Amino acid sequence: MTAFAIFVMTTGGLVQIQRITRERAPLSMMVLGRGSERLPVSERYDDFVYPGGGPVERFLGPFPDGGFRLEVSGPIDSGDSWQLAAFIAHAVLAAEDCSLCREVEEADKIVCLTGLVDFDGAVGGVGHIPEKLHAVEARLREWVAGGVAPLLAVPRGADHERLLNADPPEGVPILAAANVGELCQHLGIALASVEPTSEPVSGKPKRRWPYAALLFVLAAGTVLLFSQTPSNDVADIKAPLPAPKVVSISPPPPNPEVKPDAKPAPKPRMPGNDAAKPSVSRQAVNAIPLPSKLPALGVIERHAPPGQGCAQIYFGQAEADTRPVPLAAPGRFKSSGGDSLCGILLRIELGGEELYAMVALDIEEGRLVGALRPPPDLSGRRLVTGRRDWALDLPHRIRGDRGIVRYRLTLTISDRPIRAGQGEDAGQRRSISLRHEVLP
Amino acid sequence: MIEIKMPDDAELAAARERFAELSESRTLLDGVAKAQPTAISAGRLYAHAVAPNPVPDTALDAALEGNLALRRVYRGYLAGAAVYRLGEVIAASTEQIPPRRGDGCRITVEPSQAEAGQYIVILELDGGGEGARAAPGTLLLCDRDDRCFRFALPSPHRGVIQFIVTAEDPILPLLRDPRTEALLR
Repeated sequence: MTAFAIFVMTTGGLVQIQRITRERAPLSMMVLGRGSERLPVSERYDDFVYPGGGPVERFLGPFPDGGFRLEVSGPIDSGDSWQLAAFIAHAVLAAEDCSLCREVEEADKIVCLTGLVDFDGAVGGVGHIPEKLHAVEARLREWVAGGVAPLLAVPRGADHERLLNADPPEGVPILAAANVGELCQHLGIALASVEPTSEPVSGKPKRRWPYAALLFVLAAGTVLLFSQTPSNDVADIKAPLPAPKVVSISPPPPNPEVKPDAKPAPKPRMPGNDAAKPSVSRQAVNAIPLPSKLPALGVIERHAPPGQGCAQIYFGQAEADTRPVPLAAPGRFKSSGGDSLCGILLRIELGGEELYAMVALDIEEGRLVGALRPPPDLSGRRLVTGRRDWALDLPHRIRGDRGIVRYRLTLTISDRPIRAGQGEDAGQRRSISLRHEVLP
Repeated sequence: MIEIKMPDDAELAAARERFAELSESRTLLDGVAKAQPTAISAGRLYAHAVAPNPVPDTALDAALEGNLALRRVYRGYLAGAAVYRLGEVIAASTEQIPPRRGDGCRITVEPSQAEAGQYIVILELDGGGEGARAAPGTLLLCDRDDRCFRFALPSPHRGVIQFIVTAEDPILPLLRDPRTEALLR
């Protein structure tokens, strides 16, 4: 465990980021120490960590409901140069083997930072570098004299050059930061790229770290056609939740407390063109190989067999032909459709380790029959294992009107009961989200 | 040279008696005046009620403190100038401080997860606070005795006004009482 003391370099001196906690409040706040004074930059900080608004949620999220409380040792009245330090403090908080410390004496590493961080993680210049160095110089010299070498991190480019020209104290390593990925790597903070789930990113140019791309390629090669696993999620690195395990390839038992089977799962198959695939029989649907990492989500189409209609499927008079839906992109399944399509089956593979799981279905367009009846034990309040299937029917009206159905399925797992508005009691949580649409 | 004729004993006694009478009557009149409430005109009361940041007026405060009828009128003026009213307490709530729901807004109080003894007051404005109504800058809380208290609010962000108070803050007992009316303006 590496203890970090994180400081913001300001023109008024060093301001330490002492603690970051969760609060049951919608807005994130920057607070002076343990007190109740909310600093004026709180709104900017909220934008910085808010989902879709800043890089913190993008790289380190998703986060449960609620905001952050970031405690600083001194006032920060204006400007945004605290962003780089705040990001690194959040990264420390998210990393499994790092911690944020309040007492400098307890720190393994002291890092003083200034810089902006944009939505893509690029570090931007801030200015006033000589003034900031002058304000913090005495403290730096004290630390160096005490045998501690604090690291200074400033934006690469003009700010870095100005710092070097301002005669920084000897014995203080200086780092020119271009992006948060490199900086975290340099500091030994585990930070994996998070593909922005399945949300399309707005017009901003996408910048990915090289190793993130490599991770993604590796992950894509090891997941099944029809599953979306959190393997490319940063939470996967930090969360000591059930390790991926292989469970038996069998129909879901009535008792949710199924024990895992030691039999290894077959190798995952690469995606193909589902239109060219023959229909998979009802008997075969449960024999679809499990994904290599669990938990996972899958979508299976339910088609009327030749000579039969959907009514026979709905009323149990015929067995549906089932066809797994392959992934089209991370977090997004290939669109479904066709005249014979009667409904879909959402498959939730939880693996053999007991955990709390909650599933949520957001219908973005159209309607699905059965959307209000998720598997009852996936409410987040019971320990569950194994597989759950959630059958959803396409309503006649929508099929007749050739309407489209779009939805998002989110599975949240935790080692503690899941309730809305949990703060630090939320335990270790992970979420998997997928999107799918049924075309007319 | 001016010659002063000194009063004789009888005249001196009469003067003393007259002075005592005058002094006594002045004292009596002063006491009556102090016991009477200051006359507050309706215009003065209204101007104080609707002013965004009213000038401190100790005479008016004293008059309000001692006159229930005046407080009711003042409360009526405040309510008339309010942008949001949060009179309704969600009674089914089992929380320590009940949430309040009003037309277009909601107020809740959450205990801090990080610091014991701190509470977060959360005002959520429907539609992100971007409707026709002006963003509120003051929270007015009127208790069961028609005493109204003002609390300055920070500016809303994403339709939410949020601030931290300590357990000793006077806002908490007011919000805890379901009979307190909350107004925003």
